[in-house]
Amino acid sequence: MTLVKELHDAIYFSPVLPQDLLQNLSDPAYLDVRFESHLDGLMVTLVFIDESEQVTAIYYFNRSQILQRVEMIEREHVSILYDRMEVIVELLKKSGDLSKLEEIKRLMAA
Amino acid sequence: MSFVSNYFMLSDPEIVDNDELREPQVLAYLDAYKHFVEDKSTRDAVIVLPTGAGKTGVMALVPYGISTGRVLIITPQLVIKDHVVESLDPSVPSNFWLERKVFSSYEQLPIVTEFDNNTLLHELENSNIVILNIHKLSSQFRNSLLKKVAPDFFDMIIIDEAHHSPATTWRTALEYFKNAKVVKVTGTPFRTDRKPIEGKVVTDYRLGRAMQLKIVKSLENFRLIPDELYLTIDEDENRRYTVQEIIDLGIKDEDYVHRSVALSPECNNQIIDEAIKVWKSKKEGSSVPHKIIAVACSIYHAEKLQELFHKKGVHALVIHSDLDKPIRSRILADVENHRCDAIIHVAMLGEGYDHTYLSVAAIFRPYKSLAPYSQFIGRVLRKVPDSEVKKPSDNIATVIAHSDLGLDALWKEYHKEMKICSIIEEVKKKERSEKKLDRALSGKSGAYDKSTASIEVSEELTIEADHYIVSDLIIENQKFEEELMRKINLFKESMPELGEEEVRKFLLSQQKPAQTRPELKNPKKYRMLIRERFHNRIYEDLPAHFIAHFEVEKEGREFANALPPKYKWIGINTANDNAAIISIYFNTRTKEQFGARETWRIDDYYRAEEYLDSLVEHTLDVINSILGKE
Repeated sequence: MTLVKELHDAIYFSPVLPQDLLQNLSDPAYLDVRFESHLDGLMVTLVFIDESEQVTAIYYFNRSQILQRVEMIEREHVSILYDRMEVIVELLKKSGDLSKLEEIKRLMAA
Repeated sequence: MSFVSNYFMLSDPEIVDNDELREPQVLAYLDAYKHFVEDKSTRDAVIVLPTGAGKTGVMALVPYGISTGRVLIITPQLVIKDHVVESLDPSVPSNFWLERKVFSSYEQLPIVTEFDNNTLLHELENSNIVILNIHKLSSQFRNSLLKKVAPDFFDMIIIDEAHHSPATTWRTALEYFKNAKVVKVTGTPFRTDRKPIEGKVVTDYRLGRAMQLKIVKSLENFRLIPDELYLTIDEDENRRYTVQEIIDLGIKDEDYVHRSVALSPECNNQIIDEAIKVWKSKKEGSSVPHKIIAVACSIYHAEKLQELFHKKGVHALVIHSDLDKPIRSRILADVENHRCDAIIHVAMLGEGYDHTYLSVAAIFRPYKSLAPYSQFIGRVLRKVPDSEVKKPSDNIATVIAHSDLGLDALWKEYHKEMKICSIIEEVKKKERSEKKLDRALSGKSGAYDKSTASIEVSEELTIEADHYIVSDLIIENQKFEEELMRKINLFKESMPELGEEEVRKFLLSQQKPAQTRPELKNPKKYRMLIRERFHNRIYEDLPAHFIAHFEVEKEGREFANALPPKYKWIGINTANDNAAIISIYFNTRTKEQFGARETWRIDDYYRAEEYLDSLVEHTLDVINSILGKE
């Protein structure tokens, strides 16, 4: 896949959709799957038990339902599982031209 | 790696023209070389470098071309010894010599041995560098090094943090090895008893210059909290005094006031609030895991501070010497692995403890002399690597103390260094503009004209490159939109009652990117996958990789004698075959680095994966250097 195609996907598509997360409700290890509005978009909080430990995952989507960020909270520590801006920055780094980030941000906002 | 007695004279390290080394390291090396080799001096060489300027690196460089035999490095504390051992351990891929490109391969490195009770004489004889903590030199100690080796066993002795007063142990050791060249490395030219360190100061590198060159963090935001303060004496609530009143009236001495301020919950709260405020502003918009380091008067005081931090939502840990070693190690591992926001110490992390992300120093105890005070501030001076810096404040350390702790005089010393830093900066700026002006005025240098022409060309090129990626994206999206419109029209032909917006939304929800992240749909499964992937790498992939690489049998035991000396115990158990040896080795190394696996979070797995990448490469080299010779 070309770099441009990868960038295009990162800007215009979401690797996960909010409705994909609903499927987790069928797993009894999930204690809660909660959808709430967040800024202009949506925040989905999933609480589950893994290895006898309660873990929380939070998914942030923008108003176009494109995934922005996924956080996992384990013992009060937050790890970032996905960050859309970071994916884009990494792709720009591969292209050798980070200076386009501002223009890409404008494309994303359009 | 085999032992070569004249190793330091025969090696060819990259020092003087090495851009990976810091200026103070190269200068200190050259100064020591001049002192011992050119001037043929027999006096002790004293190297004064500010904390964070790379003292351990200097110790790693100084023997080359100077020492004609073995080198002994003496540290004053176990924490410092552990740090030095870790930095100079050839089995660690990020050891100083390879990381700073002084050498390019494992085979070129010296043989380094950490001296302990079990170290055998032949191990010492086959070492180029021996590292020990001062207490192992005591003549009362049954396994003292002095009882194991002859006075001419070492040609050079390097004393780390040499400002510690010369206790009997030091003197006895230096007298025993009296013909050895002695290098004393320190952050201050004064001993803790305020007497000058014996020897010739060959290098005195200013903190201000280190700040200006951005070798260490800057201390621009030094803050004191000038709050008016009232004290009561002997629980008499009816009479309140200001600090100045108590001193002027001679009711109590300054020590009393400073101690009272240090222990007062009100002052503690003020410092904590300020520290948290600064810490939060550093973390905002930055992924650098900044932390607060605090120093307390006593264990009880530290625990009280911990409670106050916790009440304000900051996860603080306490460390002191009364804790058992495994607990101390776990706490330090928690700091290393960003499992806390603040670390409060009591007479433990004053010097030699390095964690790059300590950026806010909160002082909750008075200091009388500069040495321990500057050692503590030194903890926040380590520079955050450029690759991690997100904003300028990432490399600005902030020190917070109460104005009535009596630290003003000590602060002035730092202020002087900061002034030096800004003066050097100004001079450099002037030099640069002067040079530019010279070039422009002279008009004779062809370089001036050429540079103008090249700027024009490079600007055009930049614009083209700028344009490239965005325009392609726009074209890509136009194609996508055209395709989407085609599908919408097809839909509307068969179902004209549907609105365009409705169809668009539906089609978009069905549209998948070329690269999806299915593992993200189920975070529990994601967590499990990360754990499994790591487990499989340790227990399956790595043994298979090493066995295939060295063309040995899984059931064989070739790796038993090919691990770094510290890990030879893994090979001693004959039940461990090659596969088991590799698994246990990597499992042990990751456990040492990140703690027990059951305490890991996702972040730890990410970092452990990266750590393994570099460790695997290095271990291949280490094993190759041993098996390749057989």
